[in-house]
This record gives sequence, structure tokens and C-alpha cells, in this order.
Amino acid sequence: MIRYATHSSLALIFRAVIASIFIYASLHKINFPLEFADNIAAYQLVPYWLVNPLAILLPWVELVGGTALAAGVRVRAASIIVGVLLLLFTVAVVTALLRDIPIGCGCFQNIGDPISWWTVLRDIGWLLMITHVYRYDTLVHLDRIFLVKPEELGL
Amino acid sequence: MTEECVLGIEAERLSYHYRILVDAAAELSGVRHPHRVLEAYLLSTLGGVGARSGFALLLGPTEQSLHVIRRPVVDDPVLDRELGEDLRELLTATDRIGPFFMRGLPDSRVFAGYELLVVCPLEDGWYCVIGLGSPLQDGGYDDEAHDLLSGLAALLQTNLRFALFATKLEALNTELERRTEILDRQVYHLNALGELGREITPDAGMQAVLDSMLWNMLGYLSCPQGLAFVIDGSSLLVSMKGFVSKQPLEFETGRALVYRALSGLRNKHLLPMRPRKIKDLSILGEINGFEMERGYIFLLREHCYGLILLGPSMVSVADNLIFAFVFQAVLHLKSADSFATIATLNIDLEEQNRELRRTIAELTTARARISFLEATGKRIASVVHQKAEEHERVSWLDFALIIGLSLLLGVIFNAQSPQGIPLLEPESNIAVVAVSAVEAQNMLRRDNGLLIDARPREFYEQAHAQGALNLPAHLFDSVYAMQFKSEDPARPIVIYGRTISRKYDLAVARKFVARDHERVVVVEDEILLDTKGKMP
Repeated sequence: MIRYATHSSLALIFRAVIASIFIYASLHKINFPLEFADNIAAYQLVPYWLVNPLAILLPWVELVGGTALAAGVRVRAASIIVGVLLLLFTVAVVTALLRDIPIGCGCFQNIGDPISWWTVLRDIGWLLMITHVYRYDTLVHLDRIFLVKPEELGL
Repeated sequence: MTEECVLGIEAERLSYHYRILVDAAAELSGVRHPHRVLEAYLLSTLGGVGARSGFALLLGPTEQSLHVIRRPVVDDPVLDRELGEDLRELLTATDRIGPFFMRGLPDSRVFAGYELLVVCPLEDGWYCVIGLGSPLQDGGYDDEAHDLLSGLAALLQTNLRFALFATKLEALNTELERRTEILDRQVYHLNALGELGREITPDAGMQAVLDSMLWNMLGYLSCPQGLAFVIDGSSLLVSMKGFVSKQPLEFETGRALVYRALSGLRNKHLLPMRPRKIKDLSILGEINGFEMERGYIFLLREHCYGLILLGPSMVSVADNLIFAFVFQAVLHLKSADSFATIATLNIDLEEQNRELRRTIAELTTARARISFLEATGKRIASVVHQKAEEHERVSWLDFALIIGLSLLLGVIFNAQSPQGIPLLEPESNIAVVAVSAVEAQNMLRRDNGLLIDARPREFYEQAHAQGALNLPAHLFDSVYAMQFKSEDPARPIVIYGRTISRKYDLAVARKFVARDHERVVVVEDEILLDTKGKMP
């Protein structure tokens, strides 16, 4: 069981899932940064002067990180960044829930999708997946295609 | 006759006998040959006893050992042989060793005319028999004659024994000389063989061995002419001596000679190193007028034959001795051939050794190169391992790259996008007065002010101050047109709704000011809200 749970193929599947989620989530935010800025502001966690820079930067970090995961380029660094984002989002949702702030999630679309503890569980699930990717992912790395593997040298 | 007269006669007779014996002994003295002894004894006996005729016979154990002398002479070999046979039959039964007398044999044809036989047994089955015919005086042989004959017989026996012994000794000497001569000759030839062996050295080459062998053989056998050659599938080595014509033996001729010699052998299968004599030399045909007396063929090795042909020898040499020469010569030829083969093999071996040394040197170089390559490979593997580990490791550069790329793309895209937003809120030149909550409350009560909640609808619906109207900034234009267009610009408008992340009140206040409202203020203090919508 542990063998299957820690298999690199499972990590590859998790990687594809997380990459797809992040790429998809970033596209609307990139196209509508103002709405995303309002979403950020709704959480009331960052100062007002930082809302717009985050609204510009975060969607692109999601897109670049998701693309890096999908392509298998610098996967561990990308998984750390994505993991940190997921951790921040989870903390933000938890604090919003604790403060009873009536806001939507803002994860994919700005309309609807209010936050709940299910949102927290979902984010924690994604966090575990990206942790698995960081720990066990070894397959289909684009940046290793032209890299000679030590075992291939036969030395 | 008186006694003195009788004694005188007796003395005279004894003296006569003595003289006869002395004469006979003197005559037999120095005589070595038995027939001489017989002849001398026969004459002495005939004269001594006064016999008319007689014979002396020496009889040996074989039929051939018979010697007869007759007086008077009778040349009749047949009669002599019959005489010998009859006497052999008579004497076979006797075992006496001293001389004895036998009376004549009247029934025997051969003894007819002989009255007395004196038999002297000798050694080794030899007998001497003296036959006497009738005496000159009548009355036969008396006792005195017998005494004389006894003395003569003893003398004869002694002399004959001596003569036979001398003859035997002479025969032994002759045989010894003959054997010594044979032995000398064999020693001579053995020396010749030894010389041949010493002169021939196998490392001189086949041709030199062939020449030396033939010349030695011809020299020791006193042959003026000889031919020897060795032929295999491709080469012919020839040695010729004593030929008038200097025309060399051709290869085809040599091969034909071998075929002919083989065809003359009863058993065509030759064993290596076993020369065979060619009995019928005429089968070889004529070779430059070569008069062949002996010929030998031999097989050195597979498909390599040889012939040795010798002319007439000027001395008599036994065939087996010549065969020993030939055998010795074949041995030397085989040694030379083997030496040549070994020399060739040595050359090949040296070449192979050189090749082997070169290979070893190349292998040593290759091993050094392999060691170098292995060390290089290990170094490369180490570098690859190191790079792989570095690749696995997360570096700050990766974070910087992803964040930096995101930032760059975000800024560029935001700048180019019509939906782009400013990085920082631009400073507005529209000034809005901020008042405390107390002042705001006074304005609302005293001047019938309008209280506006600038936050989004969700916040407003969750909790708001009592009497406040919700007017979010992004809905300002539409809501203002519907609800506040007819509002008196002089009526005080108090706006609240500020969070750490957004200054909703300030944005809405500026929009009111932009609509020419004169008394627009924002509440700088925090206003407590409740779900009942009342001011604290």
C-alpha cells in the first residue's frame, strides 16, 4: 500500500491535476485583475497599497507555477511556490471563516462560490497533493530530457 | 739252434724293431698333417712287417671325413667310400680306446686281400685303420709282427692325435683369422659410419647432407659412380658423382624414377625411415649411362621420397653393411629435414613472438588507456551525480526565476491589457474632509445628513449603521442616477466603510464631490456596526 501511495506515477497524476487547476484558475484572474483585487481586498488581510500588486502578480505566479508543473520544469521549486500559495489561500479562507466575513472564494470565478469549511478541506487536499508531488515526483521532467542520468553511464 | 744263437736272433730282431720304431718316429716327427702321418706310417708299417700291400684310413664321424691311402696306389673313390662305410659299421659298436687288431673280413668285397687290420681309436669319433695285405713271407703275421704293429700303432695313435689336434688348431686359427678379418672389416665400416655421422651435420642443409652422404658412401664402398636424390611434391635435391655428363637430373625424371622404383616393390607401402632395396634395377631404365649395381628407395615423410643408386663396388661389401650405410644416410637426411622444418617453425615462432610482444604492448597501452578512460568516466559520473543532485536540489534561483518571470509577465500584460489596473492607487486631487464619529453624528442629527455605507453589498447586508444607505463605489453611477440625482448638493453626506485593504469611503466620497456635493465627509474613526443597522 505504501509502495503504491508513494509511487512516482501517482505523483505525476497529482502534478497534472494541480497544474491544471492552477492554470485554469489563473486565466480569469489575469483577464480581470480588478475583480481579483476586490477579492483580495475582501479578505482584509493585506494593506490597500499591496492589493493591486498582488492582484497583478498572483495570477501570473499561478500560471507560471502551473505551467512549470505541467511541463516538468523545476518541479520542486514550482511545487513549493504552489504549495505556499495554497497555504496562504487556506489561511486566508480560514481567517475569513473565523471572522465571518461574507465573501466568495475568488478561486476560479469571482461570482458565487462562497467560502466554507469545504473550501478549506479542498485546499488542504490540494496541499497534500502538492506535497506528494514535491516528495515523490520523478517522471516526465522536461528539464531532464537532455540531462544524462548517472545510471545511464554504467559507471 | 743254441740258446745264445736264439738270444742273438731275438736281440737282433728287437734291435730291428727298435730301429723301425725310431725311424718311424723320426719320420713322423714334425709331420703335422694327418694324411702325411698316414702315408709315412703306412710306408713304415709295410716295410716293417713286410706286407705286400696295405692301406691307411682316417675315418671321422661324418661321411665326408674320410681319407684313404693305398699302397700300391689304387685310385678308386667309390671303393674308398665303401671301405669307409663298412669300417664305420664295424667300429660303431666298439668302445675301446687303445689300438687293437682285427682279422681281415673275407666276406667283404672291399677288404678282400687284407689279412690284418690295426685299429687306432682317436678322440671325437675318429679312427685310424691300417689294413695290411699278405706278408712277403709265408705263414702270415706272427707275434713278433703283432708286437711291432702294436708299437707302431701306439706311435701312430699318438701322432695322429697330435696331427688331428694340430689340424684342428690350424682350422681354428684359420677361422679366427677369417673372423678377425670380418671383424676388422666391420670395425672399418663402423668407423666409416661414424665418420659419416661426424661429417654430416644436420644444420648444414639437405643438399649438403645429401652430397656428404653420397661421397662418403662411394668412398668407403669404393664405388666410382653414384646418384642420390630426394624429391617431394615441389622440389628436387640431387647429388651425383662419377657421371661423365654434367646434365642435372630433372624433376620429372626424378619423379618417374621414384614411380618406377615403387612399382618394382612387392609391397608398395613404404614406411618412413625404412629404406627398401630395389631388387630389379632394370625397371629404372637408363640414366646417363649409369651402370647401377645397387639401389635403395626410402620415404622421409609424407610425399617425400628418396633414391640412392650405387654403381659397382671395387671391393666386396656385404649387403647388410651397405644397408646400414643407407639406413644411416636416411637417418641423417631425416634429421636434416626435421632440422629444416624446426628452423622454419622457429622462424614462424619468432615472428609470432614478435607479434605477441606487439600485442602485449598494445594491450598494455590499451589497458592504460582504459584505466585513464575509467578514471575519466568515474570523474564524469561524479560530475553527473553532482549535477543530478544539484538538479534535484531546490535553489533560490528557481524561485527567483518563477517569481521574476511571473512579475515581468504580469506587469507587461497588465500594462497592455485594457482591463489592467494600476499597481498603486493614483493620488486624487479631490480633497475630502474627514471627521470624527461624533462630528459625523452631529451632522446627521443637526443638518439632516445622509449616511452612506460605501462597502460592498455583502458587508452591508451583514451589518451596517442604522439609517445608512449602501452605495458601493463600483455601483455608484447607476445607484446615484436612480436615488441621489435629485438630492440637494448642500445636504451633508457622511460616508463610512474603510478596511485595511480598501478605502471604500474615500472612493465614494470623491465621486460625490465630483458630482458637486458641497458637504461630503468621511468618518475617520471606526464605526461600530450591528445587524440592526443602528449607530452606537
